[in-house]
Amino acid sequence: MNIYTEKNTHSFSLIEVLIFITILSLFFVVAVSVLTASLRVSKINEHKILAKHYAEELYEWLKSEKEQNWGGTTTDTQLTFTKIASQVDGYCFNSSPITEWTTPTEYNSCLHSLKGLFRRHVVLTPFAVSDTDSYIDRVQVSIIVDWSDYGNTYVVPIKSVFSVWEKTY
Amino acid sequence: MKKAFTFIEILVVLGIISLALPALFAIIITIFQQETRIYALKDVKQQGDYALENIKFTIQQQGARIVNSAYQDEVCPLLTSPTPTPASHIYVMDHEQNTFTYYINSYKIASESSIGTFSFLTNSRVVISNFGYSCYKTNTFSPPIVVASFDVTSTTSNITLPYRTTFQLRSY
Repeated sequence: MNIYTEKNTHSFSLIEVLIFITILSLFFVVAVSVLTASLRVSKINEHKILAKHYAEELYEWLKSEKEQNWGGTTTDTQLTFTKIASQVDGYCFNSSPITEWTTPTEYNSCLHSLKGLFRRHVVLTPFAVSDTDSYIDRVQVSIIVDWSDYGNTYVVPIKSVFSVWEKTY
Repeated sequence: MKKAFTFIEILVVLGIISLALPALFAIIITIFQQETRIYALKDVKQQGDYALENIKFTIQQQGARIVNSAYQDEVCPLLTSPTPTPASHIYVMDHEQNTFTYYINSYKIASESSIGTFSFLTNSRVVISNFGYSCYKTNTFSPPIVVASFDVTSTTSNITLPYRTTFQLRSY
């Protein structure tokens, strides 16, 4: 039997169709917003993994500089680690892999030019043994990698202290 | 008498749905691609971190001398000039005269020792390239400084991370 030709059968009213379309479009809107939010979060996560890698790369590089040429004073004749660390502005390392020290740059002057997205900055603070002994046996390292995604700024920090156990002078 | 949907109406509805669904699926596919990318990136970073830490820690703590392939002569030159050239194998000798080596075996970092252990530090989901090391001393009796580096590339996504470490032997 063909139901469309049956006399008692009635089709949907305008209200019914409108309600159906409203529910359907609500579903689509919610679905799309959830999906785009998910996409956004996963993009941020990808950048977070990369930022972590860049921060660790700089940490590793600084550690190697520390191992090679510690120095001990801020006025060393050679370009030692402690002498370089005496620069209060810090350094901006916006190239990967890192090959050499850059010119001292303030954090705010460091551009987001690492892979076109990140900026990588480190502040080194030297500490002397005591008030009476000016030999520098510790350098505080504060690395920051930051970037902005969808208007928000994200930061991956690494803080550490490099120290030497024996005086080398 | 009320009339049912006409053929045209059904066609219009189908048209709208066929416009909306591909857009939705396009987003879903993008999400899957993004997830795959993140998984690959995570894998590259995880394996790279592990390999780098393993090489660094083992050589730094256990290594007494960096030697040549015959495990005899120490290879790290006094740094005047020229600078040391990278090599494909790192041969290390410890205090018990046991030796171990790191090298590339079918795109993976292999670790092998004279007491018979052999293992891979990375698996086949990533490819290692530009593996190399060099070493030097700053003066005759100082412990050698070793520079090791390699690139880790994912086999599924176009992702490469460079790895590099520099350290001084502690047990010299």
